[in-house]
Amino acid sequence: MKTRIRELRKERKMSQEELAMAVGTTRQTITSIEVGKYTASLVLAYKIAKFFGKTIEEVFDFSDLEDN
Amino acid sequence: MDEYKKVLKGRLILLAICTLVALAAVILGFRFSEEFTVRDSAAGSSAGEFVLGLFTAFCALLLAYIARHVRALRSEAALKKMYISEKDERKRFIRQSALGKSFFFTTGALVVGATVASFYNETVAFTLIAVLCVHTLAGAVFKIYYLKKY
Repeated sequence: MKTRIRELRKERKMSQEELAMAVGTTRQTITSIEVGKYTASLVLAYKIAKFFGKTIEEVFDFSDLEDN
Repeated sequence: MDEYKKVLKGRLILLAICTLVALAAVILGFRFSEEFTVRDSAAGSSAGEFVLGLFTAFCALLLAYIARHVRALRSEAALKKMYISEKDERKRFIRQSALGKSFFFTTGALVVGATVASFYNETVAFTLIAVLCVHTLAGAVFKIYYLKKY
């Protein structure tokens, strides 16, 4: 799944480690979500979106699901 | 975090008890290994010695876990890092996919089985040890695979 996490993180000049600590996960999980290897759970997606002050749809791209 | 601290303290007590039991087993094993071990072949080493080695490694592992827990209880940063690492959903998902819930139970049962068998029948003990090795190796391979995949 595509996400805007990297873009939003760069805007705020944050490292993956800082974001991970802020949302209560590991740096490796953030890396995996950013590269699309791992799909975050609803809870984690909500925490990430809330951290950036956005909605889940604004951070995570669900267009692949809508095509099906 | 206070709740988690309580959990860690409880776990620390359990780890200390396990370490003491394992240490006692190792000391008794070294002291009485000749009297209790069964040797099927005159020249070969006994399965009991392997199990003794296994328990020694288990002791070292438990001590490392105790050190990790003590470090986490002393420092807030280490505590938070440990909490996040334990509760991380990706790690949990990988653990569940690669090992499942029965892995640790099966491993424990094989260790107990091999330990008991080493007192009675070397062939059975070595068979169980071989199964234990393959079982653990398969778990490790699957974990590496899922770590790469996710």
